[in-house]
Amino acid sequence: MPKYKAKKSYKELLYSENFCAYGSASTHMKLMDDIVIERDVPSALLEHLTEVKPKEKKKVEK
Amino acid sequence: MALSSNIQTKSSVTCFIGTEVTMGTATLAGGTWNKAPLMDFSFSDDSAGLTVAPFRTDSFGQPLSGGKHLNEDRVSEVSLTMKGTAATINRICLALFGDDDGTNDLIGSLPDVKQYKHGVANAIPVTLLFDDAGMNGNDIYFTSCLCTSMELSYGIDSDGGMLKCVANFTTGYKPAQGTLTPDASTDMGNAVAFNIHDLTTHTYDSQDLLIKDFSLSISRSVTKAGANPDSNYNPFGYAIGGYEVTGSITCKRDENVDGILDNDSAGQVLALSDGTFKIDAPKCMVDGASPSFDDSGFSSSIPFRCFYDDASISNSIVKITTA
Repeated sequence: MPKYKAKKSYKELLYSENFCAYGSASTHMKLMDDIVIERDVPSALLEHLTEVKPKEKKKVEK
Repeated sequence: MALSSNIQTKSSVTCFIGTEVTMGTATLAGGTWNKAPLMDFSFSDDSAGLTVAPFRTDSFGQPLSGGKHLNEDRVSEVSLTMKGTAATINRICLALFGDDDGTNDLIGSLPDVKQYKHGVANAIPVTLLFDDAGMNGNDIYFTSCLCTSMELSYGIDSDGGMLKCVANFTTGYKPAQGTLTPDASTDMGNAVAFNIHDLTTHTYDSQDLLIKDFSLSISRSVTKAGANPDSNYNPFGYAIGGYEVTGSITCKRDENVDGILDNDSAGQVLALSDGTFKIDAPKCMVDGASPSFDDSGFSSSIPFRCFYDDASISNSIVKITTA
């Protein structure tokens, strides 16, 4: 499942545009608190979220 | 004046939950409506309480001028007992704390909507429409109802084990009697209700319990804030209180129950699941367990209360998964 954080633009969305409009006030509140969420996201919200990808381990040359 | 031939019976009443757009304005016929799978219901009539003046020291009767209806405090209460289907639970969770996506996670920082003002856009209040339940033979509907509580409960030996969802609402608006017919609606009863016989996970504090009865209640206060005497004493707004999440488990009394009763004020995990319907409460405390000495074997009644982990206000109090 992909992980996302809120961009500044997400926090400025109207109630009718943010996650509340998609039936998840709890997800909205987490994003407002800068908490990473792990769930599928409506396509309309993708531009307002940053995907958090797992850090790649640096290869150590022997 | 002749007697009316109108009669009212529960069997002829259908209830619809309408999603509102603006507080104080009932859902329009063409709005979003959900048909409630009612098993029982009740509502209060438009009747304000009476306040009376004190007695005069030398008088023993109450004069007419001493009685006043307290319209400022007048509210209507509505209670719906419904089949515990996914759609029903999701809709009531939406009205109570804003989630209806099937994960329904009540977290410490909810609700997101904290202000309720007359005439302001707000999708949380609902219109509750009772078809054919008006005194005049028409419909009756309650505008801008806020959900004050939801109780989910089921038992091995009651109602075939079916999950029941009881939702209570309050409104400060005067009930309307007239004709209101939704153009279209989604029937929340078109699905199988969840059943206690299907539970496969039933643990508290990692102890496996043989559960006979289970209930979970989420409640909050809603208070009418101000009343407009120029508009039927309808409210200027509502004040809402915090969520209290409590419940009760009745189960076989055995050593697994003994493992729960620590009295150490540490949060314990409640996990119930039938594979689809799940209740997960990560930080619960038992609140005064007691035994009962049934002929069929002793059982324990375990009341509990759910909290969120202080590490973050965004932590879950209880999660009610329906999909």
